Amino acid sequence: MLNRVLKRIAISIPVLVGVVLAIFIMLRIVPGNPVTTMMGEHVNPAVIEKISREMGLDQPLYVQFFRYIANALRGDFGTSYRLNRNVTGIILEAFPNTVKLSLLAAVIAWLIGIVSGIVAAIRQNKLLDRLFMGVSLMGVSMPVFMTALVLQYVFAFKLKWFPVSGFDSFKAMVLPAIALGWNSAGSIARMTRSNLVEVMQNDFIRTARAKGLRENGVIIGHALKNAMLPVVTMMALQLSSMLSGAVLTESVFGVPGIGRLAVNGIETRDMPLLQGTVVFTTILIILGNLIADLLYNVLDPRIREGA
Amino acid sequence: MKKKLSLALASVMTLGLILSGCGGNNTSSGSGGGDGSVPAADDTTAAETTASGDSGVDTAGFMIDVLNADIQTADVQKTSKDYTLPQNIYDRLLEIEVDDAGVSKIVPSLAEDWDISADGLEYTFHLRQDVKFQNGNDFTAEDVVYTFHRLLTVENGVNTELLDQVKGAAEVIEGSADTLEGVEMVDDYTVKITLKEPFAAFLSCLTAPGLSIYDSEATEAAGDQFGMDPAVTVGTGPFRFAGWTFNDQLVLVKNEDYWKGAPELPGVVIKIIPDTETQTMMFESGELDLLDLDFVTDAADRFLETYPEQIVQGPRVGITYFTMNFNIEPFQDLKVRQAVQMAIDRQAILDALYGGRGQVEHGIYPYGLIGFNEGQTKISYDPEKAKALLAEAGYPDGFTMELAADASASDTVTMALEIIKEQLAAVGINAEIKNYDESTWLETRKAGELGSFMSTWTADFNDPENFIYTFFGNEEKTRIRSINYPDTAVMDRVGAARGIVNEDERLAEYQALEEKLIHEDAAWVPMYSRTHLWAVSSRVQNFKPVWSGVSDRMYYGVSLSE
Repeated sequence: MLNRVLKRIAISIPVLVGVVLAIFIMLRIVPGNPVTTMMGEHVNPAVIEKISREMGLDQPLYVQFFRYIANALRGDFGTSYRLNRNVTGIILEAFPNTVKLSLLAAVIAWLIGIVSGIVAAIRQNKLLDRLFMGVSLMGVSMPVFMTALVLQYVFAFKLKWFPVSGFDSFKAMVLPAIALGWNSAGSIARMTRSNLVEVMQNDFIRTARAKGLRENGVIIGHALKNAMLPVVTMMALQLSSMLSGAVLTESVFGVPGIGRLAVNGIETRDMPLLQGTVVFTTILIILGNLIADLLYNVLDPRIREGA
Repeated sequence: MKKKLSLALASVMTLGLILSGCGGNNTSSGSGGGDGSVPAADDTTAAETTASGDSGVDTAGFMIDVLNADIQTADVQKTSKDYTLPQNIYDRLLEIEVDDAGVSKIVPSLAEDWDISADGLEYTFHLRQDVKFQNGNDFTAEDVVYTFHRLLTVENGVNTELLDQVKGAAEVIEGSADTLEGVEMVDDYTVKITLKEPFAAFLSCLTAPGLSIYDSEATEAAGDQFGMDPAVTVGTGPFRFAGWTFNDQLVLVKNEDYWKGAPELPGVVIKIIPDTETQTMMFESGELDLLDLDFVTDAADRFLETYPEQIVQGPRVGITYFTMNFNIEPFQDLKVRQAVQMAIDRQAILDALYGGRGQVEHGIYPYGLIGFNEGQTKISYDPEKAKALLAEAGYPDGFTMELAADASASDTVTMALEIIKEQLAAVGINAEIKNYDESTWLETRKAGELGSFMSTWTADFNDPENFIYTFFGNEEKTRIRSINYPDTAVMDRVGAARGIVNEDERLAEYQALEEKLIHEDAAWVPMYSRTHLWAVSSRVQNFKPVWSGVSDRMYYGVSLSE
């Protein structure tokens, strides 16, 4: 088990370095001096030159890259151009908001997804099944920003049940969390349903029924735990995909999280800020995948024995 | 098996807790308010009132304003973009006031009155003696000397051009002088400023946000935290910078001891909301008191109809212009430039993009600016004549030109370029839109090599000098705008006009130069100036847009009815 964890972590390192390299190069092949953008109109050209030098922008790319890696290993992602603050600090300040949003969204997604998946499977091809699967198809197909806008318009603006924007109370968090979790809820529901339907056709289910167990007992006691294996993995994986969805949700609802930072970074060509958020998010996604992998390992003895 | 499933779920939950735990010191896990840096004080009421920022200030009853993006700093010597805070937390020696007829005039502020020497070189300012900074320190002449010196020497400083005309400024910037020769403390409440040559717009410069006055002691002690940490960022202004939660909100609290009298507003919360749809909905749900309709141009028409009583407006004091680079074929030809002036239907663009809110301009100085000339020659929209001019110039079948679009510019600029493209096509000119990223656009423009573009210049200070000198002041000025106007004799006159001490003569010269540049030489296409519209909530009283487009919010004098 420990071996497996170490192996996975070892595989993750080149992925991380690759991502850093890719984002680093991408940001630098864009033409133009970011300092020009950063300082705006009313600036003395000598100041632009001086700042470029201070930031090491006059150095060869590989020097800049290794400097960046060396600093990043010490937890220093540099200073944001536009905000003139330490990027690590900015990210850590925004992180709790993104975590709150993602976790709340995940819980909503899991609850709605699993329950509606089970109900749909039990009522297979009946009205309820069709309804749930129709709604979940909408969830899967609707881009997250659109869900966000629709929810905001209907429940905050028209019905006034929730504030339009903000993240300073539980009430304010509900809509952003649903918007972000909706998409995952859809796919979890569909996956739960299809797995459950498949499992229900197995011999052991027939045996369970033959023993005289009630149908609910059969489903919950026997079918569900077999059907849930891939679903659990998917749930863990989706925790990381929510981080990317957060970019849009946070912008629509004005949540001061990491997604907003990434957008800030792109809009103002703030390379350290953008690099920092990308690297940070990458680490989270790698962690998410690692956990998904380990979970699967714990849940499914066949994989464990195979390893 | 069941045990393992619950184990697995438990571990997922634990992961969540670990993740949320390592991120911040906030103890609430989804049920609380708080912003990650302070303990959530009163979770239950947070939805109804507004959460307090870092300040711990109770913001109940504050006016709620909004910005699209967070500010960089409240240190106005380091930003030329974010003037909202500086306008409200600092004062300047002089201020601009707009009367109800929309006429701007310079009024005393920290300087009570002033004398100007006959040669126009020496300005002596007599300072108010009853002013204190928000930390209790007295405001004295020393602070003025300190502030101006800091502007020229602070690391990563901007706005230094406001003091370009002060004697010795260049030497301080270069580092060859330690003290700023032209700014002297005569006594505790008198400052003498000496210019290197007469510069009539200097008084206007002193009203610019960039010349806000700082407390020498507090600013020096704050170091690079000045403007970043609200607690150490003090001024003499009507509001105190009380809190800043990054990407979330800025908090201003009224200065009870303000020398003009405490503001009526208890404070202002400025929300940072990037999405304009969200801003609109917030306003309509009563979550905002002020909404700059510039942010939401597509909603402006609806707002005018739905809330006619709640719209406040004022001139923008900014001119939108379209350039023709004299170094690019065939714009050396006067007839070609005149043809382009006539081929663009400015009124149609103003109508299409802004519902006609504003007015078509014919020169360099926009409506609302000192020196605006109602009686100047007009440019008419005349595509037939444009075609004839092109034929005379030897381009009966037109030519191909570039429209340089800056990717970071607003959507309306892009739409305007699309319309211009169509209008030019109607006279046979094939205009191609080329997209640039912001930085390349700016660099190419500063190198003098950019094709035609449309942009807007808004007053930094209310004087025609700020417009004509910026674009046609000398060879360098006109190059960095990618106009490359070639007539040095005219540009020398533009430079010389800055030193004309007699105000009437000076304005007459500026108007003559405008006539020459735009109507005789067709040096650019004046497009339009816009009306600045705001929606205010029904409880907001006395909100007036300030004259300048870059510093358009003054909260002093505003009040909220219950």
